[in-house]
Amino acid sequence: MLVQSGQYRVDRSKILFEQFEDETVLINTETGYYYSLSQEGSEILRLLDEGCPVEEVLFVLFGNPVHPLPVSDEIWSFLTRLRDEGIVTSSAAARGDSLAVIAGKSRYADSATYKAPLLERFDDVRELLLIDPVHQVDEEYGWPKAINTIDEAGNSKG
Amino acid sequence: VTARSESQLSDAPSADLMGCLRDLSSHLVALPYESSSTYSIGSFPIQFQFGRNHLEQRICRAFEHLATEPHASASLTLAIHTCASAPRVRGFDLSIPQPSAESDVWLFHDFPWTFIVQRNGHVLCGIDLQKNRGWWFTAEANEIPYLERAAPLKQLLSLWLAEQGIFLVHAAAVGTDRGGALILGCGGSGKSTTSIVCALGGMIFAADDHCLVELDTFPKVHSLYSTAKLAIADTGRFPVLQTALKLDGRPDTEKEVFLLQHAPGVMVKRELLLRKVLLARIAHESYTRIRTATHAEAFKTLAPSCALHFPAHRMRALQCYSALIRQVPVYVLELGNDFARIPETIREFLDQ
Repeated sequence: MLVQSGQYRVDRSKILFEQFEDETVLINTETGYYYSLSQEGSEILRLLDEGCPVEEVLFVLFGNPVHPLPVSDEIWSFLTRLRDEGIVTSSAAARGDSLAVIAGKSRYADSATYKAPLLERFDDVRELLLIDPVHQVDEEYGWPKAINTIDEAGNSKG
Repeated sequence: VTARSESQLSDAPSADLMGCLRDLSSHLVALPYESSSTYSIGSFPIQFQFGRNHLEQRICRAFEHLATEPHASASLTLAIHTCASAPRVRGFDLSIPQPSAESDVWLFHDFPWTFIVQRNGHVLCGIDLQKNRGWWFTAEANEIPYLERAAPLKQLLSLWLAEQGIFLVHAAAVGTDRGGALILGCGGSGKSTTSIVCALGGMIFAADDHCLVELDTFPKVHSLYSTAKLAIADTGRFPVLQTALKLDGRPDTEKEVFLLQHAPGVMVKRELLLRKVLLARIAHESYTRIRTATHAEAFKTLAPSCALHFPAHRMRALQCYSALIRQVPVYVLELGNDFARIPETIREFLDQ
């Protein structure tokens, strides 16, 4: 299901979001997956994290709220993947900037430099986490509490 | 090694086991001990109280180089026992539910205690993070697993040190009087070989596989173990190590573990100011070269070390790693096969 309109933020309870000069890296500390984002992907995620509603991302990027396919599809698919991977979570926080202010930052107004946002997933860390698995136990949950439960497909159930 | 889910069992809770661990804690921390020693680990004086004298030799050889004078108020006190000093423990039922593998780690939270059960229940430990008091127990001193002796108390120390803001990393560390290099890389990237050739080539040795990093005014690397592991096939490359002290009882499938603080001419140091981070790669050339790396490359090489930490500390460990590689210049170390030149190249680079 496509991501719903509204605001989303990086789920910092489990996601480390690091922006380096040449690459943005995300790590899900629960599943062990890490992700590399393209420049466009990084900008979109930063916009979301700053409080830009999903339905306004296209407007902010291109200065136009209704952008022709396939760009629109690409961005909605990307946003949906961010949510499905547990990278962003729905947020009720109010946005600080007005749409007009953010629109002033429009960076792909001519679309010429735009490339589809990419999110690559790697499992190096995940494999290590699973070599010496940690089972967390407490009296409330017994054997073992599913703090880090990952199903066979690699999705977090938490 | 088979990778498995971190949490698959759904059996009924074992209140008895939790109760046993509680009773065990009360019992072990109150027992008398025959001897005690203090080790400076991550700059913290940690007092080990040994239920029997011989336990220190059996368990703590890998951090002999961290031994220090007794401290009036140790930062952490650990009671080390076996059935010889704690015979009542035989009566505790500490069976772990099946399926459980040798590598599985069971973590029990029972505030203020955290208990860790490893190696199918053969190694148990507990720590009270409020009182900085803990214990470590295994049934028989002569049955302590080889890998546990090569990196003793790793889980327990990692847990406590992470609470103090010092994080374990999977890395080698060598240096000069002016500072050190943290050498990162996955298995087979040349970390151990580099640290051994540097140690034998007159440089300071701090770690071959695991060490501690701390962000202070200046980032530091702390030595944890003075051991160096080598595949049996590679030991012939270092004739000088033939006479070096080795850990006894090596299973056929395991690497040789050398106690480098006893190797001729090797200088082992407890801590180094961190001047460079090097990402090790095998170059398949004669010469060793060093080139600039990106922060993202370094972070992605360092990030897997978060697996050394318990889930509650992984985020903080990653934040520490990220800050570290932003503070310390990062490079790729392309390792040539002319080993004799490796120490010289790294030493000159560190001293620049």
